[in-house]
Amino acid sequence: MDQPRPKQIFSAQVNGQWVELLVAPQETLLEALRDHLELTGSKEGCGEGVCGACTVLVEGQPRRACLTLALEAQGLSVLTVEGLAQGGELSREQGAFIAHGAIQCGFCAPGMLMATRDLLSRDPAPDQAAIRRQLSGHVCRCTGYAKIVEAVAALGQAAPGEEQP
Amino acid sequence: MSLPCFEYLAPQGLAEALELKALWGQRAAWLAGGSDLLARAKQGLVSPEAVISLKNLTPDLSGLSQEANQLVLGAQTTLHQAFGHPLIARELPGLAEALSAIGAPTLQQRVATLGGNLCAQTRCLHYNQSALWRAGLAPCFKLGGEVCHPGGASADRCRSTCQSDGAVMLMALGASVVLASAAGQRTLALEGFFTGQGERPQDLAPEELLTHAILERPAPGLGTAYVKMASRGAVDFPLVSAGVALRIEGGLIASARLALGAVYAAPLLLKTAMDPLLGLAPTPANLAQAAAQAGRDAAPFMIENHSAPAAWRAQMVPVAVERALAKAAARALGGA
Repeated sequence: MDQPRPKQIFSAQVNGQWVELLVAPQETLLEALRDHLELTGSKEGCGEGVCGACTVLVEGQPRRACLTLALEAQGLSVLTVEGLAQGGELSREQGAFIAHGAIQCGFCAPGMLMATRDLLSRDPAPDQAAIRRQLSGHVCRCTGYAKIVEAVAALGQAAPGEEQP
Repeated sequence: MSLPCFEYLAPQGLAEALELKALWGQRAAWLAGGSDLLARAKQGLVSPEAVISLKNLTPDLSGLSQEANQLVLGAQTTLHQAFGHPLIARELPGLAEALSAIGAPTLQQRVATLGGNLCAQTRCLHYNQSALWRAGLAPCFKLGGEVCHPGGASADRCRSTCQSDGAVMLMALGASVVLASAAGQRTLALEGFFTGQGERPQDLAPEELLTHAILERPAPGLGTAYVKMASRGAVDFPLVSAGVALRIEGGLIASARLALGAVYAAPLLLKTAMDPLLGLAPTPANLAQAAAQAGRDAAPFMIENHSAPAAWRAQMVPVAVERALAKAAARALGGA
């Protein structure tokens, strides 16, 4: 039954760079990112889609990397938390999370940040309800939700680069 | 958490996909958004030798088209595309409510599909557990054994329930599904597609693929609503849910369909509870009476197979039904 099958070539544009590697057919995108590409920013919390710590953007769409086969992302663009900072500068989402103390242990932050990027790309000034709805699929085990919502709200209110409190 | 080994096949089109499935039969599983299949595979509830990805079929099998008096939804339409479609948002708010209640915005709403929701497996507190947890119990009916743990000693069948929000609302809407195989295709009303057997909830042969859902175009005066009760507002499966499609003509109820979720192995259609409403005005008293009847009809199905007590869930049936009826009636009358 559980016989290993031949590996296949997986090629995708991860954080702007084309990568090519061999993956087993049943390997998840999360395993490809963490174990092969050493992009360990995306976390495995529950491993079954519930917690949101593994959320990445595939072709700009948020999805759970733990419930996505790597081969399902064949030829597509993948953005992880490592791809948010540009040229050594943190992204505005990361800056706001730091400024508002929206990170405690940090385990949920990669997923929360990707969810924030997705929300702001569709709704540059989300209201509280929209923020809470977008983050509803993300669990913060430190229960630091209020600060996270504040950080996202600040991003919506400020022009890019002006979200320091 | 790792997946068991399997082969990965990605056919280029529908014909090739159906040929492959004819060849592999039940040794292969269809892979759409993956949120049901891969989570179950990680728990060891399903161990396909191959998965057949439907990703290359998405252009052909997604989106909504209007044909004569029908709306045809491709099975590969994502939840987000479906509830965000202007026609569904405007004319079928109950369906939009049901589909947007699945998972969460970043919990696969952009990739989970309508077809996947209709084909999702029934669930039970004793079944949807890790292999390690389940190892302490004899295999249940759904796992090929001869016992139902929540059903107790007298149970002679699986008592898992349908917790697919979309399926419940589509049942209330009287939808049909198109099932294709290399040998041809057939169209089945959801009443027939859902078997009511937890062991095998859908009448879907190993070589078949659900390709489309078909709905009647909403008639004037139709109001729809979906009410879901769950422990949390997101991520959760329903503990009780009610989908209502109700049509009002000249101030009187001309038709009413109610389906319940998380009660039975199929979305539970309660005809006798709704029939007395026909010809009546949608007054709060009339709707409450029908909701109370729905609660009595659903009570025999309630056992301890979910995370909330059966007694609470039984009490919540009339509450959910009354809320759904009131919302649907207000919408039928042109309100909210």
